[in-house]
Amino acid sequence: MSGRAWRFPALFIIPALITAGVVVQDSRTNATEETSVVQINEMIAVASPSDALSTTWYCPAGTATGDANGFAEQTVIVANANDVDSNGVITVIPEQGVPVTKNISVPAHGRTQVRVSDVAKSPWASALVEVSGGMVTVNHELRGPAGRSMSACASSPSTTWYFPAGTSIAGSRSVLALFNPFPGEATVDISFDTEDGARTPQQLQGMVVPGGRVTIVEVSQIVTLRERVALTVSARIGRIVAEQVLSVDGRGGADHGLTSVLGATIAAPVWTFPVATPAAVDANERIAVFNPGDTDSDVEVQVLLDDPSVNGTVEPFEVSVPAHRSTEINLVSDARIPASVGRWLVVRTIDGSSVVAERWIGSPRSAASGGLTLTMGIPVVATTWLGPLGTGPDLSMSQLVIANPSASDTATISMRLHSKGRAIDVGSVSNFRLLPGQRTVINMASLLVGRLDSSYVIESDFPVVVGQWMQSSSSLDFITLSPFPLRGTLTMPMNVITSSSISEIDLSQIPEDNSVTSSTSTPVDGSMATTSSTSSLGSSTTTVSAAPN
Amino acid sequence: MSVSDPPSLQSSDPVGSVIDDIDEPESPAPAVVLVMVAHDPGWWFEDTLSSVALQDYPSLSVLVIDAQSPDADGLRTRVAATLPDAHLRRIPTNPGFGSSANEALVAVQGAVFYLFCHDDVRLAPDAVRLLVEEAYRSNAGIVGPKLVQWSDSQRLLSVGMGADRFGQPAPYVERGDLDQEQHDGVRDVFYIPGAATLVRTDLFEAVGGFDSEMSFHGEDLDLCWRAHVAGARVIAAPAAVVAHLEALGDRRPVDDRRRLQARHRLRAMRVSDSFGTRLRATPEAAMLSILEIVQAILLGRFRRARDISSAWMWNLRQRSSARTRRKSLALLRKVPDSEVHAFQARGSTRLSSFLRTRVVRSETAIGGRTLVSNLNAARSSTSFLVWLVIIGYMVVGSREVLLHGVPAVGDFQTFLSPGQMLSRWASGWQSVGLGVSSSAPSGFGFLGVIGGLLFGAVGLLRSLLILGLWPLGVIGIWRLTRPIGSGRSRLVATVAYVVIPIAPNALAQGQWGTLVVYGLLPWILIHFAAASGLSPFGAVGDPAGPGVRTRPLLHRVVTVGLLTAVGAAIDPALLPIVAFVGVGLVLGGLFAGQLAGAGRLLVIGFGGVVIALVLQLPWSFTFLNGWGAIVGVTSNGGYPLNIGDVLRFGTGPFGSGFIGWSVLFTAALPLFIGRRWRLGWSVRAWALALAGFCLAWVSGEGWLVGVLPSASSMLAASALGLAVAAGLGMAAFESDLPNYHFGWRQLISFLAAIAFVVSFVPALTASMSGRWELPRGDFNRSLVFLNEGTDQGVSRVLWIGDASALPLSGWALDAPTIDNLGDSRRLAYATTMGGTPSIAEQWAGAQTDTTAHLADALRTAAEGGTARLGALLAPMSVRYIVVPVAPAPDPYARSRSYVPTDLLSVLDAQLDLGAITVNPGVRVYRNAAWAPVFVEIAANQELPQGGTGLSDRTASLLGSGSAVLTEPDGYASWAGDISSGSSVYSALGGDDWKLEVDGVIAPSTPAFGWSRSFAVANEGSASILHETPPLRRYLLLGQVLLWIAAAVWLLRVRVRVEEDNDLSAIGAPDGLAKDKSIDRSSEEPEVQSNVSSNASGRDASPTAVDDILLAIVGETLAAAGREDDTEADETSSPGKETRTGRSGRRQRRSS
Repeated sequence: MSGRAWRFPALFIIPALITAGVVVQDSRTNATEETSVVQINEMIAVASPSDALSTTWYCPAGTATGDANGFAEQTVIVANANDVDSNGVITVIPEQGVPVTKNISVPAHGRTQVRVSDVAKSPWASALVEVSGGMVTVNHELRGPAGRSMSACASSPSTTWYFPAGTSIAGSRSVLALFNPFPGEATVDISFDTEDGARTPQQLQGMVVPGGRVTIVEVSQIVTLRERVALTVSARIGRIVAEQVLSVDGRGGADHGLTSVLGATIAAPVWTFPVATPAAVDANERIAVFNPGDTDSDVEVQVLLDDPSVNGTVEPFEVSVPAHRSTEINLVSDARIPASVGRWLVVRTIDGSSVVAERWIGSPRSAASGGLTLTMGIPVVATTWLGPLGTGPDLSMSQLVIANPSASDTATISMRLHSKGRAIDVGSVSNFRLLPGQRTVINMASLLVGRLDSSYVIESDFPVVVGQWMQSSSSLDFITLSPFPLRGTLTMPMNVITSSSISEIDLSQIPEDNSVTSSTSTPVDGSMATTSSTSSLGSSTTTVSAAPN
Repeated sequence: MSVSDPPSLQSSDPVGSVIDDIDEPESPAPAVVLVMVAHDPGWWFEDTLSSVALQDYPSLSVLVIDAQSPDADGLRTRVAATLPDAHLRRIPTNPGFGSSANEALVAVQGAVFYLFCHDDVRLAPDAVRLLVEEAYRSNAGIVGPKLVQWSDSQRLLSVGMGADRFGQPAPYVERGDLDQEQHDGVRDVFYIPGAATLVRTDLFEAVGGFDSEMSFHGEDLDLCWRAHVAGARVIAAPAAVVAHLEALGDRRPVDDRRRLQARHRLRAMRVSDSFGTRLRATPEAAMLSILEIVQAILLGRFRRARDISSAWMWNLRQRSSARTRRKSLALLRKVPDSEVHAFQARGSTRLSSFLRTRVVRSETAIGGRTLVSNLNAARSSTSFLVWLVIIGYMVVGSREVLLHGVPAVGDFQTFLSPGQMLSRWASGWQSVGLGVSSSAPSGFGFLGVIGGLLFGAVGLLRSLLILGLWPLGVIGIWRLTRPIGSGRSRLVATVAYVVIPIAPNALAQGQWGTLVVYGLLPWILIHFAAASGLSPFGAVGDPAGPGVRTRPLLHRVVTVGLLTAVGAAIDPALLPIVAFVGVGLVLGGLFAGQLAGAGRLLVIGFGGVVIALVLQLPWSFTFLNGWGAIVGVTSNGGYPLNIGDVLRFGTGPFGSGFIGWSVLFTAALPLFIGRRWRLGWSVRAWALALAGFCLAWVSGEGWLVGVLPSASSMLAASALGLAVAAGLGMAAFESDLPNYHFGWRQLISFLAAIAFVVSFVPALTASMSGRWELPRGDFNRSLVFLNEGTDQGVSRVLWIGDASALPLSGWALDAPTIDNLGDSRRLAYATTMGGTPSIAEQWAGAQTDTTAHLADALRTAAEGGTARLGALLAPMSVRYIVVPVAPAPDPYARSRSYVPTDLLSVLDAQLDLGAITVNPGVRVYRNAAWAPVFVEIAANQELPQGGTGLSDRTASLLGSGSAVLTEPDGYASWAGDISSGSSVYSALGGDDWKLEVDGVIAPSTPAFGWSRSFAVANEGSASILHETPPLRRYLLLGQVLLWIAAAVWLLRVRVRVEEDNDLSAIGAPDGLAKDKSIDRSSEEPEVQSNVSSNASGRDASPTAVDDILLAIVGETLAAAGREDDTEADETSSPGKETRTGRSGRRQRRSS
């Protein structure tokens, strides 16, 4: 077969192979790039899986004077949803002085609280919590004369922190805590945006944050008497953890309360707020949007009313946010939103740019109500969420909200409580479904009675978002708490529900058993738990009650 | 008797002679006795005798001396039949021509001239007369005729001969040249070839006749030299014509002739020079002999080396007789040596011929200087110019690198001293990763030996092995394309290989492995092509091309294996590439519908790889641990490889422009216009190129990552395929295009030519920087602090980042959460012991379970499992973590697309890692929790012995200890003082570690699952060292023996095959055998017809080691070497041998 050589096979094969390569190349080039896992994990405080070697948490802000009237006395709450005990240390890093460590042990399915001032006393102190294993979450509670706050501690430091919402009005105190847990010093720039424009005070440019220290910036003393103050912290060198503590004394009819919030580490095109002001609560609700980008951004705030088939839908708020500027949308003042209807929010950019969204809920202190809470939006969705239910006895209202922001996929949800060293099945809410755009609100107040160490794990077969609303009765205050998504289960929200997509949902897809069982009795740790719920398209409300164990 | 006296011949002493006496002359002409020495003459003898009988000289007598012919009666009968008046004298032995001819001194009286003749000459009828007339006219002592070929009297053999001061022949005319009377002037020459020499009898007697110690070869030189010293003239009289069959070659073996020539030339010099001249010339001759011996050894011509050396020994033994002849000559000396030297060639003929052939190596046809050969000479000039341009291009383009050295970028790391490299090679422990007990890479031994031969000049060695690979590959393709038979084709292929930007891109990015593939693959492909037997590399299908020679298939396999092993010693990825080349060529044959030779191609490919693996034993045992140990961890770095980049070879800063497509157009030409073997081989070349393109593109897309060698290495195969196709396009243009009617083929040929010229533009642009965009600096200066602080104990540096940015070889870090580099890049990690990388980290090998602990720690951090990575790395003695984000530090790096942002985020988030500001091109973290490699801790302090659940705070156990054994004591050995009652933790992986404290061996226990701690009972001087098992030493010894055996076997087989070919050619049945060259001009008018006979598929390809040496030393050295074999013929000329090639040699031997 060594005769005359063939010419045409080669002339056919060579162009064919090259053409095939070009076609495949083009198809792959069109694929969109995904946000990396590390980036997603740094967008929000996340919990580590159970096989993690150790978990580290950073609680930047709080006073540790030991004085009952301290401005924001800090207590660290460590919850363990794992099957094994978790041991570790808490290192209290004072504003001045030497860090002090204390060994801690968190029992399996249990919780431990540490008053920071019990470890070390300091006007301000940060807490570094290092515990073995995963499935551990850390929150910190701040109590002071202005009120009470509970917020998540950070699971990772970052170079950038955004705080779109804030104020420096009369009677307010805004404190920015910059915690540098690393050996080397960090250098940061802090800038502000107010209704009068952007400010970059010289003393806050190139500010050194020493290693292993917390640095406090009294924002309200630098940017005075401004209704709206957005903060940006950017580290030139190193990484830090930044948290804002805000108190308003309610003078002049202003909101009254104490709140703390971790900044957002990254801008994103979609932010969800599964918890909005409950229908029964009268409060101011504002959405602050900050655009850190170099171009103006068109933002849409979608208010998703519960039961849209009955309550209808709300035309989205649209606002343009200039580059490096912030803006606010007052939801309460708009008549389109019925005050008596439960709702949740989605903030998205129309042009796909990235912004940061934060919500302000506040109310003047009255006999029955009042408080202040700042909540950073959730830029991700996840299939597993962990969170503490908060202290029980003084809560007048505790709602756990699970929302499915997808416009097309139904999520099947299950929930477990962890308390007294074991996981507790909570009956029917352990397995239910959420339609696209639907959220469920679970009233948990009665369940918390007698369960001071409780925490929960929510699992879903499709990514959802979870939020928590609490209202304390002993010290009137609003508390919004963002649970922790489990590392490895996070994704960026895709195909998010819109008002138009709600109307496009085919009702025939709704299965008959969509509603949570109206009344179910489930043994809970030797006692009985009773759930009752109502459900319709777009929302459901479930009440879980159980006899104290 | 005076010369003018009429000759008076006496009867010789007849020994069975037909004619018992020589008759008295009857003519007044000077008596001439033709002395013919005969020994078993062949078929030609009657012609010889007849020519003598036909002489028109009236006073000629004939004396035939029978030098012990086996058939004496037969000889007698043959002489009597033609020359009944001749005298026949038989001597009982065959002492050689000179000694036999000396019989005339005793057998002849009264003669005026002797005309000494071989028995294979044919004299023109007037030859004797003209010689005698010229002797009188010129008053010459020795006169010689014009020697022409027996078979073609129009072809010259010699018109007298010149020689240099060392007796090396220097012909005045070009052997085989067409006789156009251009050499017919009478002139003084240095000596007359012995075929026919007219000598005055008195002169002959005075100088003592021929040297009786010279049996064959050289006696004519000696005689004439002595005649010069005696003041006699030696002239050539071209009017007298003698045809010479040169049948002596049939009767003397090659070795014998070569040996005798060397001896006798040296003796002639030694006995003819005066004392002063001898004093100067002898050392010079000795030096030249040494050079020749070295050359012969390098070329594997051990017999040649032996002959040269034995010449000196023989002359030493013969010094007594030499002294005697010197004394006798001293009495005759009439002229000083300076006058004799006037007739000699200046300098060394051999050296001159070497230099001449080095400069002008042409593709001349056999035979004389015909029109074709003249054209070829013109081509040689073109080749010479093109080669000058290529060399100039490379030198100019590399000027800055040549002046300032090669920075330690990528794989171009600094070499260790030869001793250090050999120590690593001999050790059974390797420091890579966390340390592993395994066989050392052969590269250590390879480089150590070469470094030793260069007297430790490892910097020079490094530069040569980096910068020399490009020209090596270019020379390789020049050799590869030789059988195509067209000088222009070779030039096009060579230039195409140069302008394809594989080598500049590899240089720019420090890809040593790619350069190795680029440099060696053409040499390997030579053997693939030759083994296929397909025309023009063999005789299957069509006649073979120029210079094609035979080698056994096994020889080819071993040659490819040895070449592959040499390359794999630097980059093991060459192993799969060689196999891939075989498969690619077979696929090409399939596309072309020509499966002939496919089996042999596969055998060569896979057999060569197997041989290479065997030669790499015991190192190749480590390949069993993972494919990654062979292909390494690869990354396309900062240059994305889409299909367009792949096709334009844009793996680096060069080739991504639009003009990069031009080479493809050039290489496509033979697919359209080629015919016969040109089409077949162009399809194969394209198949090879396409296979490389496909795999490179697959790699660029991120598929089969970790399975394939680097994309640039695979594209080197594609570059070779395209370059060969381009050369074949030129051949098709020359030979096939004229056979087509005018049409589109002419148009695309024109376009291809334009594309070829256009392709020079980016290549020229690439040379502008003078360093091929290779960064001007490296990390060694920025990171010099890594080498400091050894007083705090031995430590490690962990390197992580894009594999293409790491300045050392490592392992893929399988950590998807932080590997956001892209599909075509890989995150890799590696370690160094206490400093910046060197050649010690060039070969990572397979990832071991021990080293995997590093990856586990990194993965744990990447997955958020810890914020104290430093503590996890503390038991591994990692003091610094270095993340290169560019191939070189600022401001040298051009690309910043390596930044592993997620990895940096994770490292930035570690509480015990402090970032150090060094340079924007690199991120460095200091581990606050680090512990030295050797830590002394309290005896009661127990370390975890392994298993799961190790805490990231275990390192605190080590942090409280103190560093010990801080003094390096050779490779894999440290020493220092240790206190009693303690434990010494050693962070060295691998087995066979032994800690001795004052001669007492400390017991050890496992620690952390991979290391160990030693319990020390007494204080004192301690040392820890790795004991290499004896078996491993034996294996290394076996490896050395294997390499030597393979090299020696290859050289011996090559020499044997060549000499067998040569000897078989001598035995041509008719003695007139024309050169068996295949006259391809009948079929392939464009191809030179200077091809050896090769029905069995011979090839011109060189062999293994000697070919590489040839390439480095100079291709023409081979020509000079081949010429050695042919010098048996006294009239051979090195320079002409080179031009006439093997075919010419073969022709001479045939005659």
